[in-house]
Amino acid sequence: MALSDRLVTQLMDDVTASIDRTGARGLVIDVSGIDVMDSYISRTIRDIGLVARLMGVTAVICGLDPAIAMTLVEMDMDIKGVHTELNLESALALLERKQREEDRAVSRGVWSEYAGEGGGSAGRASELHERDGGAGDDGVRGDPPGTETLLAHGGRRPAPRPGTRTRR
Amino acid sequence: MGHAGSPGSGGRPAAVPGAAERAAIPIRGEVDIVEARQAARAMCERLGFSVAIQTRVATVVSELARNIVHYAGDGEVRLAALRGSRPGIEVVAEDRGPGIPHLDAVLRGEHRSTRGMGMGLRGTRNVMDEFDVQTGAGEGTRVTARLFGR
Repeated sequence: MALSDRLVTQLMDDVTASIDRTGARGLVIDVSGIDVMDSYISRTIRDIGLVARLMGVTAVICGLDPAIAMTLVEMDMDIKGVHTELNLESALALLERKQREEDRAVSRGVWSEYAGEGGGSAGRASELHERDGGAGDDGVRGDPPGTETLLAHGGRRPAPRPGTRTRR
Repeated sequence: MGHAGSPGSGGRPAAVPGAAERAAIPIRGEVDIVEARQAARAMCERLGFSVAIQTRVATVVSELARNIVHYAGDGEVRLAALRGSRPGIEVVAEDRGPGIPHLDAVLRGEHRSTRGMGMGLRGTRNVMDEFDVQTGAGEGTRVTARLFGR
């Protein structure tokens, strides 16, 4: 696939809007169809992962072609700060593992100390979402139709609008 | 195929000997970046280079074409097959833009533009066998890079 700059920028917009809308907790960026990852493309892909992380979403890049991975290293272009996995299966497995860890942490009450603090810029709300790993057709999967909101605990501020959430 | 028409009379150019030897791709916008790197990969493939080298050259061409679009607005990427004891490919990226200030700092990796550009030029030097930049304020830039098959 030949990825134009405009398409890469569009991808960033689509992904962040989609995270906001669906409350996805995991994002897989499958780059297996990309023909070339030059510095601009690799940085934008990495930025999508970092932005997703700031939105509380675990992002995983997968499907790096061996020749592209080699070129990235040789040209000193790193995609630091974002999880990478070999393929879609292992990327989804990583997300499921992370999900289970978080759910366990919640059930042990690890987050309870944060409840009732209130006053955060987005209010105090922790929403848990089930990710179903639904596959998109554009190489980016972060769109869970089965999203489930388990908890929205308001602080002193109004509850955030649907689709936004804060997580630790 | 199989039609005894004169070469080049159809829409698709016939495989004239030497047709793979040279290509010039005008760079005026983002779509040309894609076209340039695809042309580079195709030429490498015709020269029998490995997928690793095809990808490396395509990436380099993408970087250089992108620099033209972002900094100069327009220019040209030229590709040429090198026939010698070792077959190779030559990439020339030329524009008449503002030139590259702080070229040395860019190549040392000490200078990064707000867009993070500059890494591409340094990376290009890292992966190509021969690399040369001619640039001057207001004179434009010509990057020449060569890579030989293994």
